Amino acid sequence: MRVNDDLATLFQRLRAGDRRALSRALTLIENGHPQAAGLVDAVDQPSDAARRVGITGPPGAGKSTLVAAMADAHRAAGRSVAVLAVDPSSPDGRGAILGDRTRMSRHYLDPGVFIRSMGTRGALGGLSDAAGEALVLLNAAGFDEVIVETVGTGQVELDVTGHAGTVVLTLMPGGGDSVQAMKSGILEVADIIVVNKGDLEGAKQLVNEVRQALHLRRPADWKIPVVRTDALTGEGIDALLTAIQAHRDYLRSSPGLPGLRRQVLANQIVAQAVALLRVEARRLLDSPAGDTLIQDLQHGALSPRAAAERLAGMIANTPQPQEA
Amino acid sequence: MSQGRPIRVVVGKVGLDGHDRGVKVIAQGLRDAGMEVIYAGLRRTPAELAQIVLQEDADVLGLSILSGAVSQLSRRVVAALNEAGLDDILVVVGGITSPQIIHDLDELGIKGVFGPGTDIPSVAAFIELNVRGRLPEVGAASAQDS
Repeated sequence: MRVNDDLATLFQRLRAGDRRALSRALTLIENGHPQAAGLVDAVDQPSDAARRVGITGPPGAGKSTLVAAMADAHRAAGRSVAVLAVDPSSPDGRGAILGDRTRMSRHYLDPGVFIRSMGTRGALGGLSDAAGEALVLLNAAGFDEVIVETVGTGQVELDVTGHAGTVVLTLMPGGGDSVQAMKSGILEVADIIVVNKGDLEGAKQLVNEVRQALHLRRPADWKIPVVRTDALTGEGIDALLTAIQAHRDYLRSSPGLPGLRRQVLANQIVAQAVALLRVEARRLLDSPAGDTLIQDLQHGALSPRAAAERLAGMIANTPQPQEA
Repeated sequence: MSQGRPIRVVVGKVGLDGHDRGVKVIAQGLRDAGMEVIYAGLRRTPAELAQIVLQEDADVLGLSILSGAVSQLSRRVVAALNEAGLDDILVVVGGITSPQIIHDLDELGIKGVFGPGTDIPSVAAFIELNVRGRLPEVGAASAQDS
């Protein structure tokens, strides 16, 4: 890996469609390289998160095959496609077998399709920590469509909703009844529900059950469509893309973000802010003022809470770094 | 580059030989050794493998070839990598070997050739040594032997 690639040059090449530059930039992001933040900062156009599509659902529902079928349809219409496919890393957070792309093998030589695999590397929300920034770079590289596929999800992996404007929950017949779908928070995440493997017995029944479960929810502006697909044959894919477009139109026309998506984005900001504040707090505590604070705490002149409040005050009064 | 990052390895098969047990065993073993293994599947063409290595920014390409055409197929893969500007990728080959094949691959610049009976930790160690310039720590290497 050539680390000394000039960052600006790398970014220009990425913007100009150089796939190797994109690939290398994604590695820098994924490895949390010190230069990586600069890459994302270099993205000067707003990254259209609302246009990204997230594909989530339980293991074996056919997410990768569905993504491949969606790519077929996009390519037939002349649209370029980037896919970020996330698979789980081993529990130690290092090794992983990333196998989603084997379902997309017919696109391997198509210059209009870019596929990148990522391990979760210890993240538990269904994506990797670097996924958000990687998606920003994929948008910056100029793809018409950006699709992110989560790991096979259970009931709590909701990160995708913060990074994709339209989330497609993929279910399959035989994967549990509608009560499973109702109790999992994942139904709340879905903007569109796909019942894949639509040729199998029980598919129509699952469609009906999911529709009934959705019917019991609070009324909302966006009525979650349920689409039956057979990703292997491509059946239902056009209907899915139509539903995605309808959801995009809805997002454009509706003011404000729906509750859950707002919540997830707020959580992301809080997590990032806490990380930044922690660094700043450490820095201040290493200063002479920090020494005084620590001594006051040690001598009992300040309670831990009072010391923390004073430190928080110091952080608040620190001048903000100027945006470049 | 931080030393903590996982090494990324694309594994796959070229040509028509469909014996995929070896490549799956290797994929699992390298994963257990802490690497990110991108499984490219069977019957790939050399050009497809080069594109996968490029898009995945892999450090290593591992070929599993159980036909007799190890030298011929490896030559085409190396040519495809060079054509894609990926001449700095470490290529390792596992499968049927012979002194002639080892000689052929050596001429292609492929030093990591692993025949039947190879234990996976030695493959992992070869990759670590050639990608990072050093062997894995002893604790890390022995943890996967159990």
